[in-house]
Amino acid sequence: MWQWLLRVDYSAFKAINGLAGKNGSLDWLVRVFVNDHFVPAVLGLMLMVMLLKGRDRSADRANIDGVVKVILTLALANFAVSLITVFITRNRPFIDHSVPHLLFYTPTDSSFPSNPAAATFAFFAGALLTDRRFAWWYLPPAVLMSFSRLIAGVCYPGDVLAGIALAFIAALLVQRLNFLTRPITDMAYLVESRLRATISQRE
Amino acid sequence: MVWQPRHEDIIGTFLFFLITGFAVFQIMIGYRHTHGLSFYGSSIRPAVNYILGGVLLVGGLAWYFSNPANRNVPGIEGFLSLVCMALGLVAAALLSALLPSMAAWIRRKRGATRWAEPPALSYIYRGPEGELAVTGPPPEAAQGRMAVLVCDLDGVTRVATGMAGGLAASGAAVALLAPGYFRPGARLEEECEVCNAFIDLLGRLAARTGQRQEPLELDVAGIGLGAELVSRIPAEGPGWRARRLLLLNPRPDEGISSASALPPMTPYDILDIAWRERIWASPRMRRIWGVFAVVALLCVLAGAAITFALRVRWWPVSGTLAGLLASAWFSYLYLTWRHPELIKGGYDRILESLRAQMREHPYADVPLPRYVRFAPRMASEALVSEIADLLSRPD
Repeated sequence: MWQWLLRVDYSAFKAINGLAGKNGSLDWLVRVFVNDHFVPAVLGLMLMVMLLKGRDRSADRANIDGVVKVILTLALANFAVSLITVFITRNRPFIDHSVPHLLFYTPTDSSFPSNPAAATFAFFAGALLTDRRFAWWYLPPAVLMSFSRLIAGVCYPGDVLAGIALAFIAALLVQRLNFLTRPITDMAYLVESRLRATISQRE
Repeated sequence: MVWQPRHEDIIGTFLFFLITGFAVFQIMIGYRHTHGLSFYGSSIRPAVNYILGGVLLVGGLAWYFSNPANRNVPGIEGFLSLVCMALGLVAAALLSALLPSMAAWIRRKRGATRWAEPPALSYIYRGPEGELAVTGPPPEAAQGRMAVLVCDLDGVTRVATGMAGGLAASGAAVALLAPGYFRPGARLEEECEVCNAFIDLLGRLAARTGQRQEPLELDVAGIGLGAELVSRIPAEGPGWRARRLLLLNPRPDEGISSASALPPMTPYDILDIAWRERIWASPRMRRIWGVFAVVALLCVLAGAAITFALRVRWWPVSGTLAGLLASAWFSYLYLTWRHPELIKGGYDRILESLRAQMREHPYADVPLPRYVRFAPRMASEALVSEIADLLSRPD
């Protein structure tokens, strides 16, 4: 069963990686989205937009709560990836197989689960449970980066799926375990409340 | 695993996040109309912010990714990248706060006023149930009509005096009412004591205008909790009649929101007030600091020890940072467990008790005069002129 899954995974990888090297524009786009910094930077800036987009105090507070949950989801997903890689090491596709179109440098860490997929989908999953409307803005960058890593030849589809699953599990845990987020959101509320009280002090 | 040489452009990555973060801040400042964060004038012009932010955002991305060393080579590692991002965004926030403060400082050097000067108030009553002050023409000369401004939770604040000053400048006789609900810990022992006190103060005001055949016509505006109070008053009382009610942002689902109507205050102004008021030095805050200091020391020591044992890169910095982050969390958990009364603070604590008590005594069945609800997201000058305009309109 395990071997069969690995074979299916490799077949899917070959099919997707086969898209590389056929079209210069597609390769350029893949190189943009597979970049270690581009999508994470865009997602980080989008998180700022999520924090500041409120029009009144209740919206601001809901946004603080949402951003804290996204950050904790991200931290939890990354922690889970680090923990799994201690016990499971899976070589990158270009180590075990010949990958004719490698559009990225050769990472040396374990391929399973995909850290970029877990991290980028953590934004989407974390926001989905707090701000459903804004959360969908996180999906395109997350999908593009994860899919680009397959075309670029540095990940198996199974790695990406595992990363996505981890992100959703982390988001569910953060949502369920309120005590994880409450200290941080309440502290943010406390600061906000103190500042608001300060600027309305009596003359 | 094979070690690969890395291109660690830490300064470049920090600058990238500083520029793009500043760009996003400018766009959001324009979107929210946060006039206190305008560095090119007294009020925000959203188009300027959008263009500036857009140019900086595109420019920052183009500059950083035009460097081949930042494109698909083993670069700065994940954790370090995250640190650069956090520091860059914090620096962008500080820059967004510093620029308007400096710009306001230069404007004030050239003679601009700091904020709306409070008008001269003549107190005609000060008692346990509240305060009654007037500005502009005296109540005796009110010609049978007068604007009444019911203050927020904290009494006569800059918001209220700024508005009263603006209204008085437009020729209105303005009475400032600060009912006695602003004392922290005040309890409404009797049935809606605050409302009764407020109605009583209106009666005192009417009495000051002398004996009349017709009742004194009042345009009543309330700010924040004052607005909630205004929404509960009857249409008329002894010697007065409410002609029009103005409720300034009295959202029932949120706390005091009068800060939205503040004159544009720069971050420096806010910090200046916070410094003078020493908001961190209240007995409650001192107890919180005391707990935090002990927990932080323990957590930083533990963090340094763990990061040293695991040979984490830059362990003194990583360990201290991790310890400080964890200490905030552990302090909070300890406080919620042992001293939950210390956690809720500021307006929220006072508001919650007052709101709960006011909710028990709704005046919903009282027929209200016409009223206008404001949810001000504008500079106070615009707000004041709009209110003055409304109050000067005939029925």
